[in-house]
Amino acid sequence: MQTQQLQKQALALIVATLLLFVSAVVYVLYARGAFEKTQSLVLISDDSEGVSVGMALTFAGFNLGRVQKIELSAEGNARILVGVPLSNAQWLRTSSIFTLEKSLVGGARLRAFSGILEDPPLEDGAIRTVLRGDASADVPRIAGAARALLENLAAQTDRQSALAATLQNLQAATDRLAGPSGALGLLAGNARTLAQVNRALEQTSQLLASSNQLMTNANQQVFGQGQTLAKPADGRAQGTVQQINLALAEAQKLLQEARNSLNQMNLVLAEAQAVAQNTRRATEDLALLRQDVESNLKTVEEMMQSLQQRWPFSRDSQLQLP
Amino acid sequence: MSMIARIYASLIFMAALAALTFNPLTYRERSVRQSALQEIGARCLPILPGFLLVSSFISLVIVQIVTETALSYGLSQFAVEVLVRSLILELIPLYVSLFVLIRIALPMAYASSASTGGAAPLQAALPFVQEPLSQGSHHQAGPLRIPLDMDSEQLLGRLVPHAVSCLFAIVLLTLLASLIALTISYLTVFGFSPWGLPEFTASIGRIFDPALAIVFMGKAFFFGLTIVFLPLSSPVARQDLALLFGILLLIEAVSLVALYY
Repeated sequence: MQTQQLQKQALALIVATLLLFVSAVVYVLYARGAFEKTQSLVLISDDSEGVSVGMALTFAGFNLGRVQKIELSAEGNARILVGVPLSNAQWLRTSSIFTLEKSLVGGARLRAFSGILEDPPLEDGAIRTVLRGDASADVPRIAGAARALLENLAAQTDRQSALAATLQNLQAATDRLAGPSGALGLLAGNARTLAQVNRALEQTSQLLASSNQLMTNANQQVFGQGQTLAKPADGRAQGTVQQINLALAEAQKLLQEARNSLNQMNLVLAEAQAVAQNTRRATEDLALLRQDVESNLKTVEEMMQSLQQRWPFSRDSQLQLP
Repeated sequence: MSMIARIYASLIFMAALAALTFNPLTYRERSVRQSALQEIGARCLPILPGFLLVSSFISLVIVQIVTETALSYGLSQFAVEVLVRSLILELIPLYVSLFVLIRIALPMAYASSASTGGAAPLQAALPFVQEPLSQGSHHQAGPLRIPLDMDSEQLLGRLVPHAVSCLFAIVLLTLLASLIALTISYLTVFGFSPWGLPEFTASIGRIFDPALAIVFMGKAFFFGLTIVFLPLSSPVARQDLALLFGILLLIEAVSLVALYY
C-alpha cells in the first residue's frame, strides 16, 4: 500500500518535472522570439564591431526587435539583419533613422528613431544605412591632446623654463622686499639711485617744512591770527582782512550819510514839485488873464477901427499893388 | 590489479550501466519500472524541502550581492544578464550536482556495495576484468565484448533504478533551483510588478542562444554521468571525494572554455 502511494507520488513528480522542463524550453524559445512573426530589416554599416546576434534594436528604450544575422556584403559593408515582430513594426516608418552607438561601458546599442509617425510603415526587407556614434573612437584623439597638454605643462614647469626663471626673479624680488632697503630698494634698483631718491626725499621734506612756514606767515598776513614768527616792529599786527573790514564799515557809514543826503534831496525835490505846481496854476491863471487882456485888446482894436472909419480919422486902408 | 586495469574496468562497467539506463528497452519490464518509481519516490521526495530551502537562501544571497554591486556601479541594466549567467548557468548545476552526490549518489553506492557482500559492484559484476591476463583466454576483455553472466545482469538491473532516480533528481532539482533563482532575480530587480517581464524575457532570450544551450545541456549531462555512474562503478571514486570534485571542476572548466573562448 505504501509502495503504491510512493509510486504514485513519484509518478506525479515525474509529470511535474516534465511539465517544468517543457515549459522552460517553451519559455526560452518564446524569449528568443521563436513564436513571433517577424519582418526583416537590413541595416548597413561600415563596421559591425560590437554588434552581436540576439542584440536588441530599441525604440524609446523598448526592445523592438533583435539581430538575427550579421553578414558581409559584396561591397565590404556589414549587413545586420534585424527581425522585428509584426506587433512592433508599427513604430518603424519609412522616415525612421537607425543608429549604432558604442559607449565606453557596455556593448553597442542599436536604436531606432521615428520622428514622423504619420509616414507610411517600413516595408518588409527594407535596407537602411545605420548612423554610427562611437564614444571610444574619441579616446585616442583625447589621449593625444592630453599628451600634448602634459608636454606643454612639463616644458613650462621645467627648471630651465621661462616660468621657472620668472619665479626665481620673483623670489629674488621678494627677498629684496624683505631686506633692509625694502620696496624702495626694489624700485631704485642700485644703491646710487637709492641714495639719490633718499636725498630727493629729504629735500622734499625740507621744502614741505619751508612751505609750511610760508603758509603760516600767509595765514597770519591774511587772517591775522595764530603765532607770528616775526612780529612787525611798529606793532601793526592786524591782517589785511581786518583792515578791509574796517574799510567796509567806513564805506557803510558813508553810504548811510549819502542815503540821508538823498532823503533831503527828496524833500527839496518835493518842494520844487510843489513850486512847479503852483507855477502851473499861476500860468493857468495867466492864460485867463491873457484871454481877458486879448479880449480887451480886441475890444480896444474894434473901438479903434470904428474910430478910424469915422471921420476925421478915416483913412484909406486899401493896399495898392505896384 | 594494476591502476590502468582498474580504471579500464570501471569505465567498462560505467558504460554498461549507462547503456542499460538510457536504453528504453530496460523499462519494458514492469518490475524495473516499479522499482525505478519507488527509488525516485524514496530518494527525491525526502530531500526536496531541505533543498528548496537551501537553494532559495543561496539564490537570495547571490542575487542580492550581484544586484547591489550592479546598482552601485550604475550598471543595473546588466544585472539580470549577470545573474542568469553566473547563477543559472554556472552555480546551480554545480551545487545541484554536489547536493545529489552527497545526499543520493554516495549513500546509494555504499548501499549497493553493501548489498554485494561488501565487495565492489565492479568486482561482483565483472569478475573477468579482475585479473584479465591470469584468468585465461576465454575471458578476453575488450570494448566490443562485454560478456555479462547472469549475476552481472542481475546486478546491473538492480543498479538501474538507482541511477535513474539519481539522474531524475538532478533534472528536477536543477529545474526547481533555476525557477527559484529566476523568480528571486526578477523580484529583486523589478519588484512585485509585471511590467519588467518583457525586458526580463528579452534578456533571457538574448543569453540563451543555441550554442550556449548546447554547452549548458552538455555540462549538465556530464555532471550527471560523473556523479551517478562513477560512484556506482568505481570503489576508488566512492572513497575519494576529491577525485569526483576534480572531475566536476574539469567539466566546469571545459564548459567555460567552450562558452567564452
